[in-house]
Amino acid sequence: MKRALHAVLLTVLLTACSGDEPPVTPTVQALAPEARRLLDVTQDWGLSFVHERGATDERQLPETMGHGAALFDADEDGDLDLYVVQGGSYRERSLTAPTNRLFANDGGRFRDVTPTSGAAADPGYGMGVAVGDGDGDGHADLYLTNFGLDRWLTGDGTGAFVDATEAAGIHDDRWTTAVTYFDPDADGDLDLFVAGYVAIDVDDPPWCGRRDPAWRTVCHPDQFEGLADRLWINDGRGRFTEESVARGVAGAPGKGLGVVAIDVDDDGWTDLYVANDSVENHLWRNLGDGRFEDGTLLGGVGVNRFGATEAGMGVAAGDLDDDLDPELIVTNFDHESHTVYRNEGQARFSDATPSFGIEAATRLPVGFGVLALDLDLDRDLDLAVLNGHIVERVALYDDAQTWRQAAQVFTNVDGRLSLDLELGGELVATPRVGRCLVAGDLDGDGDEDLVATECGGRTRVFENRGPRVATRRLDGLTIGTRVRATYADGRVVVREAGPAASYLGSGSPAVLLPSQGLVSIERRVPGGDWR
Amino acid sequence: MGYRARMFAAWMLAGALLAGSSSAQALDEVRAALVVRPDDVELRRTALRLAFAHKRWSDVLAWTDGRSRFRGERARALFFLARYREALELLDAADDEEAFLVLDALEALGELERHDRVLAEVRARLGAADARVAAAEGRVALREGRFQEACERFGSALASDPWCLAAHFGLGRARLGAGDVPGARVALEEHRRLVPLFDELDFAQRGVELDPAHGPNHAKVGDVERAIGRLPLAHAAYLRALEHSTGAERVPVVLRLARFLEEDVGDSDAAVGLLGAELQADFEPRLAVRRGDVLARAERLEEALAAYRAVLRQRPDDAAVLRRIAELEAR
Repeated sequence: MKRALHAVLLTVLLTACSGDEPPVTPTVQALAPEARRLLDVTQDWGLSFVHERGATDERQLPETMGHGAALFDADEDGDLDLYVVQGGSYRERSLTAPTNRLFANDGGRFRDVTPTSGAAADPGYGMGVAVGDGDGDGHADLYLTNFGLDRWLTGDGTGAFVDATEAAGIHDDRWTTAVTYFDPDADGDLDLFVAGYVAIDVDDPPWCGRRDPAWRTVCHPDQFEGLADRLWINDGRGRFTEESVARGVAGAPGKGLGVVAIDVDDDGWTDLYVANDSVENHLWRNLGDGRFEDGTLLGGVGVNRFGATEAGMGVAAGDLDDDLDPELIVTNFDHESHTVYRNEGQARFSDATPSFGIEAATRLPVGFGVLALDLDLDRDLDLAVLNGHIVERVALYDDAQTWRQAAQVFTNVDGRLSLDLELGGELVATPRVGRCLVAGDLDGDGDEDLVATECGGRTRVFENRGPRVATRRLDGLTIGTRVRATYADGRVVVREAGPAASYLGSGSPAVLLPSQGLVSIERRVPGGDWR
Repeated sequence: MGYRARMFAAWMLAGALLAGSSSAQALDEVRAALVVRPDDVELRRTALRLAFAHKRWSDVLAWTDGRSRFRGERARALFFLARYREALELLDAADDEEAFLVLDALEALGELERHDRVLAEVRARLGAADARVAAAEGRVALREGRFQEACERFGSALASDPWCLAAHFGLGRARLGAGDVPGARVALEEHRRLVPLFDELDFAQRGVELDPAHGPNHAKVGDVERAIGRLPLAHAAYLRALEHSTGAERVPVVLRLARFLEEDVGDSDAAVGLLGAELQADFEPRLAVRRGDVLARAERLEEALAAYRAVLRQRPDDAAVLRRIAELEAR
């Protein structure tokens, strides 16, 4: 998996290492004649992965959830590899069950290295994945959420993984979904937050929809009890203890599908925001020692501005209005709109979706994966959203709706987001049953490329191709590190390092900054000071 | 159904009730009839109701195309399809219902200044005390940081509609902005208490949409409205449930309506009357026992004893009934 020169793009890799400074990688793009746009390069990359959702006539809920993916350097050769979570049959597992797959990045092509990836070839009915160094050995480890037993896999840096779930003290055989590594107690090791979804009995599924086989449909989550979220605290050696109640991450069970770990109140401590499906979303504020309080009520992020719950799926965070604190973005169901909560400071937010300009465009689709990222490299954060309905035959119930829906890309101009079909390119051109969206600089050309999964469909790679922009990539930052970049024109941008989960996924944790005019970069690790 | 679809709740329900359980067939029939009788206004109106009930937006748009008489239907369909600019060309801000669709569409488009101008017109027409007007004005004041004014506006909305979720939430946010954290908590906790009930209501209403001829679906709506405290709406839902219930599913519906009449309306006579009428049509021990219970609580002891004894004629060893009789006789 050695890095190779891409056919079009010249990448100059300069790694500066001094002391414990993370490597800073300036990259330069070659001139491209066309405008910046996302191109489907799945075939060029040789990626062949089709999700098996285990569809049945019973239309059970797991069949429609889709699956996650992760971009990380599994073999530590300096580029991003791709891990894709697989489904199969949620009723029974067999020796021939399809497994999750690991694809090594061979400099512009993915090579399926699943056979040598050990336990990464997990045969569970997969949901999500998180990537982080849980055991502190310097290599990436995986947490897999399943419909069934979750797995914690330790990596050795070669692309091989060992199932260490039991040894780590982790046991969760419920239906879990979103998961993230983070360091809420700033003790230097990574803990885990795992969202529970709903309790269902696949052997006794209720009939939902009209009493006609053709009209049978997935049940609304209101039909089922929600499951509690779990907080696994690391003892520093990769052994975890479940401490959600002890640390205050408890209360009414959500029906969690999305999670983002981010410092919302700029106190240096990582908070948690959880998007729940059709019940109140949760904001867990870090009290400054790894314990949490429920910040939802005063935070204003549990419901939309009409005081109504929405069907939260994916979640993203980022400074959309350039005021140096992160907004929270949640994707929702049809006729709800995706919601942008503007950060008003002190962990208080307001639903400012219309002001940000995405209300009308997002009311009809059902949203899942969402990322706030600087796609066009103009220093502000744009928005990319995957859409796709949960009801395969939804047109029977509403002829304005379709199972496959177009993704959306919104570009940011002065804090106002506008649909951008040109930049969206081939990502938005073809309707799909979109679910997980993760980002990372796959081809090393200094911009963020995307990987999109599709429920029951093909996972695709989208290259971000456009005119030359010099960028600087900060690799190896501690998850949760806040980065403050100052430019010569006085502009300051804030980013937070860590793998954006979007929906069930885990993107590259690196921070990417346009480098023209970049004067200084400051960093603050969780619980630490700016330096 | 979702909070936004509540705007359409009355339309949907009316259409669904009209459609009945063989609705798809009914829609096909009117579709065919319209081809034969394109100028039949009433037929077209019925067809549009059915199309709304079944969310057949393509039919609505086709059947209203170029027909100014059906401007309102076309405007609503365009609104529901999130085609707000086209909807705004047809929606009539002078119409009390459509005005709120106009406001919502303008807000969705981010045209906030125009939204605020239209809102001022709606306020002039409907009055500042109208709950929807007051809540919308509260949101504007909140958005612009006029927290005291927002508190007053949301308070006014709640005075008119104590169950206005947006107003409970807005009042909490406004108080928070004004620095009244304890007051904010009170409002937000009340909002938090109500939210699951309204979500449950949405879920129950989806059941009605799916099968409006199934009585228990209406009874579920009644149960939730009762829990929320909107008794007239609960009453109406229970009556619809009764209307659509037959056979084994009818008894639980009657029992729930009787409980509602006795406990919430405070009208034991009505409950007794309802149970008695049902018993005359078809003797059902559970109804007879409940009738006895209601009579006993109303201190109509002889009638209660008679009711229980009627049950014993069918179930002479029923321990629960025997115990009730013994307790009454001891009194």
